[in-house]
Amino acid sequence: MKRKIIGLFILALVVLLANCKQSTKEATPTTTTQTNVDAARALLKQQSAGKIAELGKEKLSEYGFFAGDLKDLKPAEDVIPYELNTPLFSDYAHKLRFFKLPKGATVTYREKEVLDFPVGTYLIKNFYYYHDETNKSAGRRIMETRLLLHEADGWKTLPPYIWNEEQTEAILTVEGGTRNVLWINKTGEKQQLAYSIPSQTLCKSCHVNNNVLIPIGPKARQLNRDNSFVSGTKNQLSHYAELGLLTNLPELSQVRKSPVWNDPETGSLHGRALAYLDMNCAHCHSKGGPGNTSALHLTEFETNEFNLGVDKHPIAAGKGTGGRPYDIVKGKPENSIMVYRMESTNPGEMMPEVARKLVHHEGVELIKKWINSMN
Amino acid sequence: MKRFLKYTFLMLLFLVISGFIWWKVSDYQVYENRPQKPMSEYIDLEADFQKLFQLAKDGETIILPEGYFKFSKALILDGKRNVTLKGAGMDKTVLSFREQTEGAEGIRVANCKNVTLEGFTIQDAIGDNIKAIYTDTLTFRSIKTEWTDVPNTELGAYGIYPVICKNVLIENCVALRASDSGLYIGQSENIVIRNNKALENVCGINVENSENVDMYNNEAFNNTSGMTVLDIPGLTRYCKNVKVHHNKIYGNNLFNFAPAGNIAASNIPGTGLLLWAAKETQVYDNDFSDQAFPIFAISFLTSYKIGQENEYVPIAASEQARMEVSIKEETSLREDAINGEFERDKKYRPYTENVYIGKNKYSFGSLRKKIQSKDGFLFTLGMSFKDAQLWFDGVNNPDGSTLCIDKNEAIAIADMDFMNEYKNAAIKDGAEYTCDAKPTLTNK
Repeated sequence: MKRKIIGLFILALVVLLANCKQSTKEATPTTTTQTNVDAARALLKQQSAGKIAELGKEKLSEYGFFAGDLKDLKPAEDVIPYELNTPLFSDYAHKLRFFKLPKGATVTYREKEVLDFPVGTYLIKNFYYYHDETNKSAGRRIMETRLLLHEADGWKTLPPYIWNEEQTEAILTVEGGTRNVLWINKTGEKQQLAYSIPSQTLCKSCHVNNNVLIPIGPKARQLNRDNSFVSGTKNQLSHYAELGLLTNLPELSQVRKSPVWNDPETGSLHGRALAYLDMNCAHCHSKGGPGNTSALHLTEFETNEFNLGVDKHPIAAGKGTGGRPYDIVKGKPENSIMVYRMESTNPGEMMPEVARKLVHHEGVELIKKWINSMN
Repeated sequence: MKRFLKYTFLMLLFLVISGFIWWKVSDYQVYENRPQKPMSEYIDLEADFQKLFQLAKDGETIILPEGYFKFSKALILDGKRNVTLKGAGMDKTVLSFREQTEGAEGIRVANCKNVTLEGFTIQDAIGDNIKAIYTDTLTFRSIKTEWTDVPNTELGAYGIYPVICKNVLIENCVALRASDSGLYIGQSENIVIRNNKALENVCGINVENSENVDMYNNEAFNNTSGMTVLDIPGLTRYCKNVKVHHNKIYGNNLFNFAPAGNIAASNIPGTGLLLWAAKETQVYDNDFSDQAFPIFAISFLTSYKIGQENEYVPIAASEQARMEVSIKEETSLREDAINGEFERDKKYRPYTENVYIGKNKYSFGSLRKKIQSKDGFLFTLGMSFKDAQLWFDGVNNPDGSTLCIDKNEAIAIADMDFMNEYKNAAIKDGAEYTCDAKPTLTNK
């Protein structure tokens, strides 16, 4: 009896093996084409020669945006600082933002879109890390400065200016790059990152809407907050109006104010979650944005749950679903694709697709809480 | 008597065990196991390439040198006009993204006008090899897109992936091993796809929510399913005026390696052409061979029913979370999604509509290929192991315009009556859907 059973198992095994005869042929190794590296390099360089100078000044210092020592980033008189209520997450980098208007020109107020900056405006954004978040006086390392220039035919991104190690100058670098950075975070942990500086065109991945390049941050609702100026702490919008730089500003009480994503005093959980999604996702995930193909619209003004992803099937998420069924499953962040993609650092899965290598843990917590609160 | 029972029992045990093993190992593998070229043989001239792409001027023809090159970031062509990127030829200029750390695609073309990509091989991007978006007048010629590892869920999704574009030509390209579609066109209009080869992908060539598409002289083989024409709700455009003709579609029997939860994961091995809620689509003069299911015509309702009976187990969730999601809850969620999405997209029609089928050649695959997947097995069982050229879910468009089978096309239709669990399933001879000529298409 026992023998018979063993016999049967052997028979079964034969069936298994018979089925394993897949057509996995022994492949022949492909021959390597011998490439002349120098010839390739020469061909590439020859086609790019002389084109960089047409894009912008070679050094950041040549613009005269900053007075005194360049690394202090102390704005020149006509360079005005601004901050946003809920900024885009950029791998825990801090940002120092300024705008510079052409002499005598003014900005016109707009309710919903980015303020109407005049032709000739520069938006200046500096990315830096404190060496030690628990002791800011220990100094900082500036990584890059990005410029947006408003030309007669529209906004234009300049290639990034990458700061040298000595922090004495930043150089226009078309192809972007990667720089290692070390810092100590708020909880005293050592952090290390191969910080990525985008190429000029990568900037457009976020900044293009309906085929037009636009700034993302300086909307009235984002600027409607206090900031400390040389003359003291004031609401930014009123301050600009007082300086005669901003026209058509309504009563401040009439101006929408975006919540600060991590400050519960500034808005409800729902409001802060939408503000966070609006700043981190809506540049793509809105009508006219590149993420419109997914039919997911993550703007602060969205009222349709389905457009925010509730019970919505992914369209072309690929591996980005993590095997989860819907963008948002109410009350179940652990079943929601949105959370999966925010928690991923795999470039083929993560959201946003660019401009981050790290998980924004605090941001993920906010979105999880928000999804948890849905019923 | 006792002895007889014992033998019967042992025979049964044998059948069950071998049947089970056969079931488990029967994923059909038809690909070649090619060795990957070591990364040390790829040259790093990334900074120079990046500069070249960034600085391309309108009207220029950019020459890509011959050789094997590796990249860590996507190469982007944005906002350019009249630019041609020309390599030394397929397998001569080879761009590898196997070591990619940033950007989801290998090459990205966005917001351009009149761009031609020509004569190179692109490999192993994390997401899609070439993605193009918001571009008018776009040509892909003699491009090979491939993932060099064996088919598995970790491979990138789309080989050539234009979406929301106009006036697109894809010709003389080769697409291998995409975990979704080798060649794809989505939410676009005025498309010609010709003389291409697609193999070892989950779906060879995929036309999604597009208008005025002419697809001919292509070869799709060794994919999970050869070609797909589909229309899904909630997107920027709907399926309209698609011609699929003079294509060779054969031996698409590969196991499905799309990631779970993905639409492509519902492709059934053995499928030649999937018409999924397709509209105004003509299928003629194609040669289907070694296909268990030469043509599938199904409504959106059915595919969801299938997909949701099989998929969507939250794999990344913790065990506890899995416990919390009771089966009942999951089911109700799914039903909400099906009904909800149709209600939300008022203009969307979930049926197959105005599909003309005529003058194709057909041959079937072996039984084993037919029943290698669970769905394939269930369909085959549902139709009592009979062969048919056209597999139809039986969900007719209420206005009666579902199928038009050419009067000279002597095919069997497997009407699965899917929504009623095969209650009235039957093999039909197509007379019910016979028509004299191709229906005239709107708009062109």
